Amino acid sequence: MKTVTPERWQQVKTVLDGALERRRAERDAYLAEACRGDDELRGEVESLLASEEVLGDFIEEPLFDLHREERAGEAAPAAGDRIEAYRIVREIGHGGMGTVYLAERAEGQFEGRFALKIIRRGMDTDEVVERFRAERRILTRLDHPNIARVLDGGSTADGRPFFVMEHVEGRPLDEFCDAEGLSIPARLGLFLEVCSAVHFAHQNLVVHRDLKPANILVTRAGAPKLLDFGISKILDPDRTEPELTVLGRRAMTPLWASPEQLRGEQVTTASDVYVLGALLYLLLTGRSAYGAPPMEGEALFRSVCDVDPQRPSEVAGPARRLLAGDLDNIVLKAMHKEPPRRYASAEQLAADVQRHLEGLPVLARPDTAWYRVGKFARRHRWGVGVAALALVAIVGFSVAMTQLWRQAVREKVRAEAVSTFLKEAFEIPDPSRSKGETVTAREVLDQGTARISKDLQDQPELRATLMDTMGQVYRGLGLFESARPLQEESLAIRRSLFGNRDLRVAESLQNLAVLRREMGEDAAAEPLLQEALEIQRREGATETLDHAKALNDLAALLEAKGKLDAAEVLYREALDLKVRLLGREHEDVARSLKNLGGVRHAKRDYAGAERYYLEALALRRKLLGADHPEVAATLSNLAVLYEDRGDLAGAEDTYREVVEMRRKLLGSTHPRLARSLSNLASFLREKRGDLKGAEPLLREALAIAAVSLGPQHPDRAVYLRNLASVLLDQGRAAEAEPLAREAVAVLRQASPTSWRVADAESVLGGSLAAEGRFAEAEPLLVGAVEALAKEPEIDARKVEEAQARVAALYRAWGRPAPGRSPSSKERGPA
Amino acid sequence: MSENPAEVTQLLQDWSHGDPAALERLMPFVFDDLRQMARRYFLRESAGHTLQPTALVSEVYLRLQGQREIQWQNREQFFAVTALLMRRILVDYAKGRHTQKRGEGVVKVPLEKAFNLAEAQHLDLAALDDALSRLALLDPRQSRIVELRFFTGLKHEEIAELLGISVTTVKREWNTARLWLHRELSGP
Repeated sequence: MKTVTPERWQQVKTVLDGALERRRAERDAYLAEACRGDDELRGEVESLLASEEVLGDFIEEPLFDLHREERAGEAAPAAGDRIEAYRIVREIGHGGMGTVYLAERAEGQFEGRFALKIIRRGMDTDEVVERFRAERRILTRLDHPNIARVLDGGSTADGRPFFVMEHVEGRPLDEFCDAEGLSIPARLGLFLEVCSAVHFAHQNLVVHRDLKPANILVTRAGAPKLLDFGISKILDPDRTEPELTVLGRRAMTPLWASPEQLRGEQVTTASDVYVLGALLYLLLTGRSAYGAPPMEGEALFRSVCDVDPQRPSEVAGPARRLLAGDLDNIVLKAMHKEPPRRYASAEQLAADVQRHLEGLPVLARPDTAWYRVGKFARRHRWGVGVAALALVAIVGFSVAMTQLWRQAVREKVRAEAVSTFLKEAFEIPDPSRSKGETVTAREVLDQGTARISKDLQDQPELRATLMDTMGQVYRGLGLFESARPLQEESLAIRRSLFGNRDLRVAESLQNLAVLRREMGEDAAAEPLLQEALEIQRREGATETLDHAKALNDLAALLEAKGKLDAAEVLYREALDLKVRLLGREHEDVARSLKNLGGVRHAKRDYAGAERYYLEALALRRKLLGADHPEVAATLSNLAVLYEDRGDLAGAEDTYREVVEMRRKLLGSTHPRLARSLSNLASFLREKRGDLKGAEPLLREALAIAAVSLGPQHPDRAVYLRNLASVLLDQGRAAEAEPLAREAVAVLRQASPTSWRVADAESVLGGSLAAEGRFAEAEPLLVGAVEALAKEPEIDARKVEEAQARVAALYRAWGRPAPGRSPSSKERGPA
Repeated sequence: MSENPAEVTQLLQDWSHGDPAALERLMPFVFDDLRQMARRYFLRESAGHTLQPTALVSEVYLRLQGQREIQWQNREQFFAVTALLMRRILVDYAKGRHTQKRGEGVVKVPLEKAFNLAEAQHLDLAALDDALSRLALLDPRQSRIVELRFFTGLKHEEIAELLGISVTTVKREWNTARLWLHRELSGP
């Protein structure tokens, strides 16, 4: 091996630790920074990291365990018992694999309660232990707001494995929906969150395999949480696991198993898509897809594998009208007996539900007549031949048959073109097929986009639809330059196909406008929106959500241009329209109220703004629960309002409330939490002069940013700059200087044209001046003032602060400020 | 417990003369003793209490160390020695089994179980032992942590308490040690 000295090993370990604490995607950047130029160090760390993939359970199981047999006969843990660092509070449930206890930390200041799951006594065979291990390793990688996170794991004193997960207080999904009397759209909203969690797990190569309502709890705040990835397993194609299907058979819950799972075939992400369909069935109709009385054994097996479930609308009772059509098709597509005919992913299932909610056409189509004939034929090969002959003999080529055939072919071509395209484009991320290659979402999209142009030459209408969809996906990912040509071509195709007055053209115009606006090209977006609105008015489509959205988007453009009165009128119009279409109690209505509050805020009508904000807040709390990201966002607006109004106590309370809510909702390493911390810190510094209070907040924000955003992120630079300025204000220039210097370096790299560069340079200059390095400070400070003064949008306080630093420089230097009288607008040194 | 010290002494002598079967027969005594001591230390101990080692462990230790008298200073020392002892016993046993068939009529003792575990994990104990010795040159404490955990089954929390370091440190050391050892064992 290489000659590594003990000193060197300490260094290697430190960097290695750091890498292990980071997500894989962030490691490269981290290593580049941590090893800075030391290629040998980096090589050594990387060589050790390479072992991680193949480490498995290497030396995890002690060869000899002093504890093990000693306590084998003891009773199950009772309240007050300690298990490693946890103390049992009480038992909260039994599962197939073991018992779950409510637990808390035995000591230390950590608040909070956990669910601690111990593998059941009498079941601690090697197989269960092995399965548990798989669960533990997988789960620590699944960090998603709708997945109950696994926090820790270990083994009890008597050698049984246990793990500790986020304790979720809530009710099973179906029970919650019924108890709360949720409407169909509200149920769909919850379902979308479940899909997003499942899709996230799939992207991490985890298939749940035991989804069921009992494993999805809804918290009091209304957030669904997926528990118990009890039999989930990474579908690692490199590892052959002959027992997988056997395990699958034994461990699944039959009513919530897919046909292929019951048959003991390969379980893939498609199996989870099936169960999501079954879940949606239950949520929409109040009964399981295979009848109300619990079936067992062979009868259930046959139903699931061979019998098509009744259409949800046929069993739904009063909700029938709402389900017929789209929702029927969506559920049945997800639950298709043949995995390839289901949605290609949980995300696509969610996207179709989303389209339904937005009143857009969905991708799901009922099986065509020809598909059903074909399926029937495959199953009853001989019978069909005879029947077909008989049919031909009796009916001949009737006109009715010809028409049926034409319709079937047309539908089939369209539906298949879409599904083939989507399937092939999104084939790779299916964990069962990815053979260890890492494929980025970007690559998949690019590949899909290339296919649209290539394969759909002769189907312009479909091509335009898909380009529009892909454009929106790129936009959502922030890949504006890729989105733009797609949106533009979709618009051009639709114009040539449908003429300039078609609502589909309006749709393209609207999407392109949103894109241009996000690209910062407001001037280009405005005429697009005007034209879309014009088409909608001319075509009489003004009582639609699309129209409300266009009004809202145009209002936002006008607001940004400072045309506040015109903006308010449009916002108001959009609000009234939404109330007519959706009722008062809807998230979209809350958004409009918030926008109206924003306009009033900009007009300095603080009382009016507060009324709207509070109305939006109350509505969101009612719809989403007291703890929800949107509630936090609304509170954030209120905090700024209170600050502007001079209500400092109200502002501080509200800022703090936002921080605590985000911490609770998003976990302690989320970038949005960092931003809230920084906002609170800026407020404390600027309005309260509370430098001591601001400092730890910024340090926490920085720690979060380092973990979750990476060293080169501009937000991190802003926190560095803010911390530097807090230190500088306390006279700790030597500490401030390196932070400000790094902030400047990152910002010059990340956003060279932003005023933030000058803003950070001013803090750096201030630090240097305070250290007596006047000549170095001067160009930075003077340049910063010049740059900042040129910015039209900038907060005047920033400019004043920068000017004060210049003045302080010349005063400390003992020189007159060039071009200005020394008495002009000075402040004391910071 | 060591009901027959004479037999134990004989077995120890046989073992030190290279008879692995003797070790196997020695084990029930050793394990019982060690367990009992461990229990006293961790389950019902009164803190700061100095224990006199039982005759057996003391003898084994003397064999291994070639020293005359042992006064357990503290439980850190006890566990350190136990871990080392277990390591030596298991590695010796593993080496012996490479050259020699399992003795017939030998009582199935935990040692056998431990060795089967190593085999099931495709673990080359002799190679691990070597690697661990190399790690001790780089970082004695880290090597000790591995020893305590792998050869006596101590929990992270217990190791932290013994060595007077934080649980986080133990976990970190354990994680990096695993990577290092794994690479050493899978190297060319």
